[in-house]
Amino acid sequence: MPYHPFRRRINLLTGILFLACLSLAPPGLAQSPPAGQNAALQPKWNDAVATLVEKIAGIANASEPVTLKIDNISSLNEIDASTSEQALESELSKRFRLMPQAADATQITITLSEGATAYIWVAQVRSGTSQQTAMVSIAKEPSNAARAERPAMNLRRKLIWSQPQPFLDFDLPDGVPANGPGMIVLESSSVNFYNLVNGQWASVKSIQLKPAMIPPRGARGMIWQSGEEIDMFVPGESCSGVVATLPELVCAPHPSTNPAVNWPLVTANQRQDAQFESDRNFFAGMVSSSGAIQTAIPPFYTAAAKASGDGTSWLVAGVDGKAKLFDSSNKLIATFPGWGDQVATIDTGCDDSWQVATTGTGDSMEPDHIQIYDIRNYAQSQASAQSTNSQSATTPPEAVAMGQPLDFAGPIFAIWPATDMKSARVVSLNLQTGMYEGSIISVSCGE
Amino acid sequence: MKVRLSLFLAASSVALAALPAFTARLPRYGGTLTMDIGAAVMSTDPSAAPANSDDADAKEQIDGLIYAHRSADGTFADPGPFRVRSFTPGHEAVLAANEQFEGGRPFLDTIQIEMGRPLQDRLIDLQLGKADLAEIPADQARRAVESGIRISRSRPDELIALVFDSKRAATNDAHVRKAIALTIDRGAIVNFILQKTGEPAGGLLPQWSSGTSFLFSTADDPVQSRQLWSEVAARPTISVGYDSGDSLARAIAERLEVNAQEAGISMKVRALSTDAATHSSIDARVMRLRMPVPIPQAALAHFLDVLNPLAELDVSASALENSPDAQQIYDTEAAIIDSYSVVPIAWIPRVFGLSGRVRNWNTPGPGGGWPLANVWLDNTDVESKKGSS
Repeated sequence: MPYHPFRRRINLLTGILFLACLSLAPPGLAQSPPAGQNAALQPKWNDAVATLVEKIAGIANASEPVTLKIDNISSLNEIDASTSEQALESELSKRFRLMPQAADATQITITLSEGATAYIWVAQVRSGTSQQTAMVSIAKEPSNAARAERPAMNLRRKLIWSQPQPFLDFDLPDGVPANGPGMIVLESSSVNFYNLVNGQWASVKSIQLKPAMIPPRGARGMIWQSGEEIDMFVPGESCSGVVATLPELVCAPHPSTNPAVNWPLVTANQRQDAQFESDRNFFAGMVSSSGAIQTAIPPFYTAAAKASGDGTSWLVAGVDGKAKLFDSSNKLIATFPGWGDQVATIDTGCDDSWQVATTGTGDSMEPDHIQIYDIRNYAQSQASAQSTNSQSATTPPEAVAMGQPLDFAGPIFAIWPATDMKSARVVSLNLQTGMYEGSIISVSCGE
Repeated sequence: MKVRLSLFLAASSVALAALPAFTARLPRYGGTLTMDIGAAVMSTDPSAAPANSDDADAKEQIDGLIYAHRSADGTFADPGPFRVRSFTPGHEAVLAANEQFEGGRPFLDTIQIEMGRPLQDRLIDLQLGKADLAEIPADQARRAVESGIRISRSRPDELIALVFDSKRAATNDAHVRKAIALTIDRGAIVNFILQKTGEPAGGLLPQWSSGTSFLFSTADDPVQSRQLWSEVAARPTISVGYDSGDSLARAIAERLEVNAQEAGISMKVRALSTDAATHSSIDARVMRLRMPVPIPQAALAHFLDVLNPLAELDVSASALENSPDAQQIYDTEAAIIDSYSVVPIAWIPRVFGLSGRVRNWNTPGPGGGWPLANVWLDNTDVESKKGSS
């Protein structure tokens, strides 16, 4: 005696969503669909529609009127589900006389369900007292498709890449020749190069790394481009190259006896190195021009810089869980509790103020978000400059949340600012799909 | 939307109560995690035989922390994320981080496992902050939450079922088995005995694994049951057994007895000791079946291997070889359900209590070990890493 806990009839909304989906579909997908196939569906879904309809035709009497009901109890989103429902209804209408209601009709109930390894579409065909079941499974697969931009108030996120394996950083290098790789994905033991072909990232080359140490859990990595030069850092090894000759790289392991390695941090006017503890996951401190480690700024996970006339101010996510603001003389001038461990300067271009992207608190089992903060009264020089017409000389530094947070469906592992600081690369895990995702975030003014 | 939300929550492996104030995101290194377990492991030798199934499960979990790999014959090998620092058989095991672990040094410095801790002591230790981690029976999860304990639970992966002994004349008639199956009020069992930590089971696989569980009914039908029972010529008293050490199985068996008697069926429940001789007079027993893997065909094949010696189903595990599709898995499941030789009752999850400082805990799913190599503690001081082991 089957029962149906979740039932939802195809309704007007479904139709509207279907039409909306069609209108939003990339033009290339909307052109010339094969006969009997729905242009808005990927081939595997079209195949599933055809197979299920064929199975239903094998067990239902085509001469009788049919009522159709479709439920979605899977994780398919509203648009994908409604598109699938429309395709099923369309194909079934070619085989059966579909009726809204009929007392003696054959009842077909299709449930879009889901198991551990596949989507399962189940058709229950009831005629009189008899019932038969047909089903088709569609394997769950990762998608390498380049994704569309998704606006979110002031913060914009463009999903660039997703893969089932963890990765540390990714980059779309500037100045790559036409035949060069368009994307680099850095994993803890490999560097992978991709080219965009027909909207899909295709693998070009993979370089296996040979780090001189076992990467720690929670390993971090970074890709750094400065002009023509590009560097990559993972625990125990670093690689260098020039964009004109990618994917060629020269890699060198770091001795495991000295896990401290200098990684570059982005500032507006010059490269600032910080000593990264490769056998852990934090920076021990900034490195001076003489190569000595500075102690003024205590150990931190990430740092955001803002250059001003007097020098560079730093906002760091300390290993004690507090965000600390240092002025250009490296004096601690403010502490902001309750922030996450990722901070990065985003040069919005909206005004001359300092905007910083930060993550939330939690752990890797939870969704995260990015919030933009406006850092005010951060430098003595700025305060002095503003003091002529305001009270800012006596106003303490503050961080003011700007706009709405940008939600992610899982933890954020890294935010690395682009060299020009106009955007930042974000590496995160989507807990709903299990895919690790690389995105680029940027801020738009006044939207 | 409500449907999708509920499914999303069901798919999520972690449910938290008494959520602590998080202060960090990137993992912190260091610290000692204290864990209470009820089992008493007597040896860390991977070849040593444990005393009972609880001890075997705990030993396997500890072995999984000490050894990196498991060979085809089931033995563990190669150093794992932790090494044994000290071990007092049946009482305490102290594991230290393996700095050279090929999968990366774990975040924790040390794990201290206190063994042989009764449930009440485990709950108190969690409440007092003396333990960071302890397994809690599913039917006690709600009570733990009400006590302010933070809990985490897996997707439901353990099936509680009534399994009929095919050799018993009393239940050889499918009408008898069906009449009993139709009396079972799964909703009451889930709501009152399991305290809503679980879900009614109609199939042999959970919905999240097979995707077809919704096709199996979980409703009781006492009217039809009475009708069927009235048509049975000889109406024997049905004896139902349960593991004498399993209080949840006992509670469920007693509820089955009440349901059966309400439908006019005579049923008696009995505790089963380890003495196999006492089993011969039992017509059916309440059994627990834990999925060894999340893959539906493999989990179902395992269940068939376990059930066939008792229930002698017309289906063998070999029917699930050669990558069966969803229809074949469903047909196999349906054939067993329709025989009423195995009557699914409820699905329950694994439940763990956690202290507020435990991070990155992901309750293990079917076949998964304690994921302690990925766990970190929020209040550890990274500055102390140079002095850590």
